[in-house]
Amino acid sequence: MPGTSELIRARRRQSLRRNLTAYAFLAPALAMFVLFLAWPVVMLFIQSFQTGGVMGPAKFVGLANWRQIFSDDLVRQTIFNTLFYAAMAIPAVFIIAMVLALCLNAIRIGHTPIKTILYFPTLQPILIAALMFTFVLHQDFGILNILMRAITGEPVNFLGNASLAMPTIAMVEVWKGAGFWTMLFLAGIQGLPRDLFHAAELDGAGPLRRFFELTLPLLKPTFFFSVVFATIVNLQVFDSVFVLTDGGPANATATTAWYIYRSLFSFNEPGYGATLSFILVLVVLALTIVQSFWFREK
Amino acid sequence: MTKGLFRRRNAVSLQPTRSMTTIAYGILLIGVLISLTPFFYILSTSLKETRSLFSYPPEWIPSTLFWGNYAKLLQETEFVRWTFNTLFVGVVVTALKLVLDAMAAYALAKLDFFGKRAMTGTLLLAVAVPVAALIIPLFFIVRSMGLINTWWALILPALANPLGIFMLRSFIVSLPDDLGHSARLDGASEWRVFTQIILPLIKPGLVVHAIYTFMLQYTSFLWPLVAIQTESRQVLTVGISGLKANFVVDWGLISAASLLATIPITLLFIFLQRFFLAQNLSGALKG
Amino acid sequence: MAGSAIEFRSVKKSYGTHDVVRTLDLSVTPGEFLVLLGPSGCGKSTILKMLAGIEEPSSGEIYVDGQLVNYALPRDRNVAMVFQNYALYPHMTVAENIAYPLKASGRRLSPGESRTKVEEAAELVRISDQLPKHPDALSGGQRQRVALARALVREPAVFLMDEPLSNLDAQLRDAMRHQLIELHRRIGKATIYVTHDQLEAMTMADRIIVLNQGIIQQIGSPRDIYHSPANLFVAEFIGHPKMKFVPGVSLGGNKVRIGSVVLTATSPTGAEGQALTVGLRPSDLRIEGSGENLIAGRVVSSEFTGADTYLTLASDAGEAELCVRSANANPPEPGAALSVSVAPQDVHIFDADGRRM
Repeated sequence: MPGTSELIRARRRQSLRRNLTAYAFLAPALAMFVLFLAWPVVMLFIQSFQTGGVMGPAKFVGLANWRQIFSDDLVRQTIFNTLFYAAMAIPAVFIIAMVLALCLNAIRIGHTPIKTILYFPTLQPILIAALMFTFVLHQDFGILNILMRAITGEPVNFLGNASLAMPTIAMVEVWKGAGFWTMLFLAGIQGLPRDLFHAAELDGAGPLRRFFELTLPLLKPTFFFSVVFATIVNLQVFDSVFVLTDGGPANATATTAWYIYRSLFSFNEPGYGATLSFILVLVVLALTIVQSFWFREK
Repeated sequence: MTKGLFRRRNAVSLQPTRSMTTIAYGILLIGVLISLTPFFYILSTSLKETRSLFSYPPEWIPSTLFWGNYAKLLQETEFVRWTFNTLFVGVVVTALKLVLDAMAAYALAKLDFFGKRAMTGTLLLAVAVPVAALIIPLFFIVRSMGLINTWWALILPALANPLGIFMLRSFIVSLPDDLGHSARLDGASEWRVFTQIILPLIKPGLVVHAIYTFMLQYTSFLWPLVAIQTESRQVLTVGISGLKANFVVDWGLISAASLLATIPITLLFIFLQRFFLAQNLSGALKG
Repeated sequence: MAGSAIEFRSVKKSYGTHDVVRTLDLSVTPGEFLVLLGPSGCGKSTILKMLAGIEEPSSGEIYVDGQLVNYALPRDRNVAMVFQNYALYPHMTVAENIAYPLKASGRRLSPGESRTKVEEAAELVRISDQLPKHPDALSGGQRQRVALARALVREPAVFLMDEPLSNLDAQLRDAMRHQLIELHRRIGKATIYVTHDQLEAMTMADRIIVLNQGIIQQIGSPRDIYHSPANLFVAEFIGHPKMKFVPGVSLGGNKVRIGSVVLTATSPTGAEGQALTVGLRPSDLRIEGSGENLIAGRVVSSEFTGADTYLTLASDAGEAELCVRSANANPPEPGAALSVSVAPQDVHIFDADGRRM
């Protein structure tokens, strides 16, 4: 007959064993997560009160970075540019992908080859996609400009024009991303319950009404993932800017991620870059949380 | 056969009219052309001498094939090294991340432990942390570990993002609990349950996970640009971007490099197409 | 504790404030076939899971073969379980499924020994011809057998079965029931069998435990439970068609009045004037009986079920309708007058709290 204390000990041993087992499974991934994700976020906050550190030790500067960052015109410009880029690229790629997905859903023959080809651009690194776009955009031999010259007689300097440069970079993302979102939306559309659509058709709802009143609302879970994911990715836009314009002309394509990179390697101001990084983390997290609530409520 | 036909018919829209189908094919044709044209154009460019690029009207299909760009790329640049580095790092990251994420996903999906809810929430939130914002502290952390310019600098930080954990978790959660209970009663340790019961049953999930991890690694640019400063240790994306840094840009060389860089990932895609196109990624964030 | 294969002592299980199992005391003798019977959510599966180590009791002690197992790992408990959905490993063949307990426990068996054991177990449940197949190629009944074989191969002290027949069709269920009884007789190991099906319970059990809302309602042999239900819940739950209940008043001694009828029971009916509930099973009412305990009535409706016809009766035994079984090929039509009688031992008397008197 065991005493109560023995039972309690057995229970503790069991609980300890259960927790140790679970944490053993979690440990390797958690270690990587803490070391290379959680700790860097904490370090961002610490570094935002420091200056220097690339050569020699970092110095504590109090709130200097924070004070400066809110009056820095270039920072304001990069934030504007980044949001401008996302506001162009995300709706554009979503609408195009939705149209392509609906078209794929409407045809009977040739699915696989068309899907395969539409997916080719998605596979490429953005950097390669951007480099490929120089051959589309180049003033002398860009294929789009050869077309322009044939039509209007004048080539367009897509990347050299301050008002055209950012939309052009958004175009790279649209070209590369359309295939990805098309497949995602198509999977969503094909996963919808068919009966509902048959019922709606019997009720006399036309294709447009079916799309706006059934397809779109029912795809809400897909859109939730898509909007959140696209926001996170696009607010980090860097590769295409780096290879196509390097922030120019006249900082028209200077994005936040580009500025963070430059603050480390060109301006030698990691503390300042960390401050901006910290703001970027907060903005993306806040947007993600707001989007989650927004989608949950609707 | 009939089954396949039936499924296909189910997948299409309700009785699309002929004109709707024509419009759909028209739009898709435009999409296909826009997707493919840049590939063909750099193929054509890579087979021309750079100076003939600037002639107008352009020569769409070069009358004589010029292999000089490829020869220069393979002989005078470290292109082969970059390709090897990229593939090597990609394979190592994929293998390690698969093991780490699967283990963690199993714990989150099927095991009970102290702090589970808080941990799940934290990891889910961490999915949203933009990696581009972490390059500065990561640079200092990796430098203090003495890993700058090593493969470890590319491999270790790539293991941190928890998105893959959630993707695999959604696969494991869908398995009935009784399978694990049964195996435990049969005498299996937790590790055996994981390796002998769970892993074999989520193979499709593992393949999708591996593909996405590899693709993400293959396409990464910013972090390798920061972490690797030795040309011979560089990955493809950064290496190729460096070709543009010369005063007189060798466009023929760049087009050849870009085209070759698309080949490994395209081959992988063609072999594993059904996994690429089955978008199981969105399931990850629903849990 | 000595002599019992399984013992529960004051075992409780609750999730938050919701009690699933309340103060369970129970012992199972070696070789016994014990059935836990109750409606869904009564806690019967939870009891099984606590025994298997899938759930942890909130308090109390559980012993298997005299060993305290509350916090032991499932594999250290010497029990085998057959799950409701069989829980076969879909990626393994039938042979691999059955062999898995031998492999997983890390026992060093030679491949030959292992194969012999698997073949023996497969032979016992008659699936030897299915060994190379995968579970998804099997019928429900075959999967059931594989699950049984996998449990058998471990040679455990105790078998646990969680509604093992509930996913089979009626015909198969009958056949499997007989085979399970036969199997239990040959193996002779203590078995705890969970079901909500009273037919399974009545035909298979040495003892039945009727559970409701986490509380044991009655423990007893199938006969005890049928003939002397301990309370209204058991009375209503056991027997098909259900026992009919009529409000009554005690007349002292062992007499009770329902409506304008006075019935004599074998049990005392308590103090005179006490409100009671009287239960009468359709199968216990005799048509055209005579003498004592006669109830006069009229047929309201009839239900033909094949061998028997069940007649609903409006009677002078009060407002509530009675039901009576008729084996007659030409039972009375609705509207016909019909008198029934009941033997005193079949008059079930329950007090105001629903307990048997």
